[in-house]
Amino acid sequence: MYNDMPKVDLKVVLLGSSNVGKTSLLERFIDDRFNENLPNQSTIGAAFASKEVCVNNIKFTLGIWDTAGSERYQSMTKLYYRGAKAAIVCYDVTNLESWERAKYWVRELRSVEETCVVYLCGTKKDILDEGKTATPDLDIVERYAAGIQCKFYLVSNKTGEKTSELFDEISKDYISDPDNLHSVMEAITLTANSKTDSRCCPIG
Amino acid sequence: MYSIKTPTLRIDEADLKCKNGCGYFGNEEWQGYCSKCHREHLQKQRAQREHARIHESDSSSKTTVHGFYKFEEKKRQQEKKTKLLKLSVFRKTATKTQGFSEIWQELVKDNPELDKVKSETRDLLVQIAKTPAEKDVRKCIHSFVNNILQMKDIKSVEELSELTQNFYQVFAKRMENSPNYADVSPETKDRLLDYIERYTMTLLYRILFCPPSTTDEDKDLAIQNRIRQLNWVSGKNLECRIHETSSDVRELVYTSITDLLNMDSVKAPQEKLACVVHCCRNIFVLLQQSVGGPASADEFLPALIFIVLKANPARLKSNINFITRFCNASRLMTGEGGYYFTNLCCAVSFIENLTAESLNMPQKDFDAYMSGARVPASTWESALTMCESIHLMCEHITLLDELKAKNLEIIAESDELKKKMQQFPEKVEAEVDAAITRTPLIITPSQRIPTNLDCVDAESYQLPPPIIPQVQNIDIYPQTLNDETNETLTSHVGDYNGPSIEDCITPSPTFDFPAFDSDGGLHGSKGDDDTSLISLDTQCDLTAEESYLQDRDASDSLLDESQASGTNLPSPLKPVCSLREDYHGFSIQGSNIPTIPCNTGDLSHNTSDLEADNYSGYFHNI
Repeated sequence: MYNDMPKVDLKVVLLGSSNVGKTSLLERFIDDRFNENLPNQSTIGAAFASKEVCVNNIKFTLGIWDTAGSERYQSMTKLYYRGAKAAIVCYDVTNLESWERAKYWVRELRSVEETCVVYLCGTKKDILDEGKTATPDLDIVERYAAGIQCKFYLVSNKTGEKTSELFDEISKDYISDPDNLHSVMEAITLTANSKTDSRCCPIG
Repeated sequence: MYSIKTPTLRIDEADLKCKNGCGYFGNEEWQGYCSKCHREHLQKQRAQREHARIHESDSSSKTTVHGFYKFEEKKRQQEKKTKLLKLSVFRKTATKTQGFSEIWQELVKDNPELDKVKSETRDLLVQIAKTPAEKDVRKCIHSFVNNILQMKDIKSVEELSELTQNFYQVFAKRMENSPNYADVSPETKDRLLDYIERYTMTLLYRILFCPPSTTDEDKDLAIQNRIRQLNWVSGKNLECRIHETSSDVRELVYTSITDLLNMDSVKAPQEKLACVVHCCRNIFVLLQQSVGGPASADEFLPALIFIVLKANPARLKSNINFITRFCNASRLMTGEGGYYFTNLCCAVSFIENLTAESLNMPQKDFDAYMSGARVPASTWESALTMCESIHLMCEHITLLDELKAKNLEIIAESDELKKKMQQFPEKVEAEVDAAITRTPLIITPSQRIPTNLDCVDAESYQLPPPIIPQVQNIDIYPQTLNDETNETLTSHVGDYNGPSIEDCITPSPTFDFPAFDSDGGLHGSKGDDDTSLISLDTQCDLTAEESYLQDRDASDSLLDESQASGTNLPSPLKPVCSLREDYHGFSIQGSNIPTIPCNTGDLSHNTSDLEADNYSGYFHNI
């Protein structure tokens, strides 16, 4: 019964205020998975998703953890990003408040999970395309992202623009880290004789 | 220790006065009485104890406590006591002998879960049986358990946890590198890793779960109390979107609560984790029904908090700590199980730190609810009782719906049947009409034919004199000859007619049925052959008895012939020699058979009826 829970190599946590589109981003991720026709657990909930990805012929499993955005659960969120290798911090490009919250998450992550790679993600790009102005200005965001050395993505969950690129980038960055590569490679050598991938201890 | 501790948790102003109501202030040390009353009380109590040894002194101190809480408190204390007792017994054996094998024995003995683990993984064990791998697994488990047993009193739980996690990792590495496992498939290795975790943890459960060196148990009690205090929190407070009114959803709520409660009853950490996963998956299903679509984390967490609040699982903290400490972290904690488990931890942490603010309600209301001064209308308990009846009504409604559907079906069917019934006479009428239009022309000629036949019939009726039926038996063969022998036939008929008519007329109308039935009728029913056979036998008697001398001549010869017919049916009675003679007679008398046609005429008329045979049999008899 516990064998139906696939092991995850790369834990990615989704952070951000409520209604910025974390769940839609996850749904996009799940949709991609469906498009690839991979046998996996059926979607009963869009809170956790795992997907096997392949970068440079190295296969590993990506697991996305969604978090509750509501402020009342803010204090517990550190439980979620414990051990996370990557974090997608989302904010609504037209919502200043969500931007402030995003900056809070970035600070929080930097202090608590140093190894966690942060990806800044502005959602609802489609609204910008319709002519609305971004608050704060995208220049400011880009400058901020460059300042803290994290990648900034402007995505649209509605059109699916850039969402898969985001996840691809996360996978690539993960595997390019020699430490991560080592742990994944270890898992691969361990399971070289079979197609099942599991076992190995990627916790760093 | 607990008797002192628990009352201090709940002191309000009323407690400050003497419980006896004498007006003086009471004192905690005097169990809430003033000094005077306390002394009296003690004396009374001592007397009581001597009488029945009912309660320990602490029970009286709790009289202020709410009845319900008192009961709960007592229950808990008893639990605790038995537990402590168990542990002390356990420890005693340990210190006394210092033999780990003995502790091991004790752990293995009376451990049904361990047997369950073994039986559930039997196929795995069989798979590796008698391989070096099995030996190595045993060795590893043995050394690890020994290690833990040695360390259990020396090291802290955290260190033991570290040991365990190390053990998992080392074992995983060992399986990869050791030649012992060269032949083992990766899938089996996975299962082996799972197995050693399950086995060792089930074995060591008593030692590692909620060890006395930790404060797990106190935390358990604290969270249990906390949840009990928060029993007024509804789904609305948590802004969780569970449709409590839908019976399907309610069913799922119960299921997920059961799953969560089940966590305490299973032992291995991954089994506990599986319970959490089951619970959470059910929550997702019920949210899917409530929300209509895959639920997000924003909906899931409040729902989980709600479920935890309503379930109030036993030893929640101990279980959570046990999983965090002893579950193979690298394997399970990053996947789906880990996600749900983290959510559970979050829910517990939320409950522990729950404030008026986190429920979006005024502090005043929150305090009122917490102190029990205000009881919300929609507490789970009252909701449960109401739900019970709603549930029943729902069931009845669905039952009625089903009945209604069935009823409609029946009505439709009966309508159809009615229609068919109405159509049937019409159809029959139409058919009859058709038949009438078809047949009338045939009927009239058929009426004429009988008139023509009547002559023959009259002949045939008249003809059956006793002799003739005997002849008839032979005639079954010569029927085809009838035409050829017609001339001779008629001449014979003419011969017989005279005497037979009188005999024939008398029996044929009455037909002497009773006599016949009792004799030949019974036999006759068995079949034509039988009747002819039997009738043949009786004929012999009858012919002997009856004094128709005229017939004698004929009957002598006919007897043989009739027997000849009887030879078709195996007749044991008749001698073979007669048969030969018969054959002679038969072939010779082929021309003498004449009378037959009359009877055959008879037979041809009635062949369809059994009665006809009977009649013919009757004729034979005669």
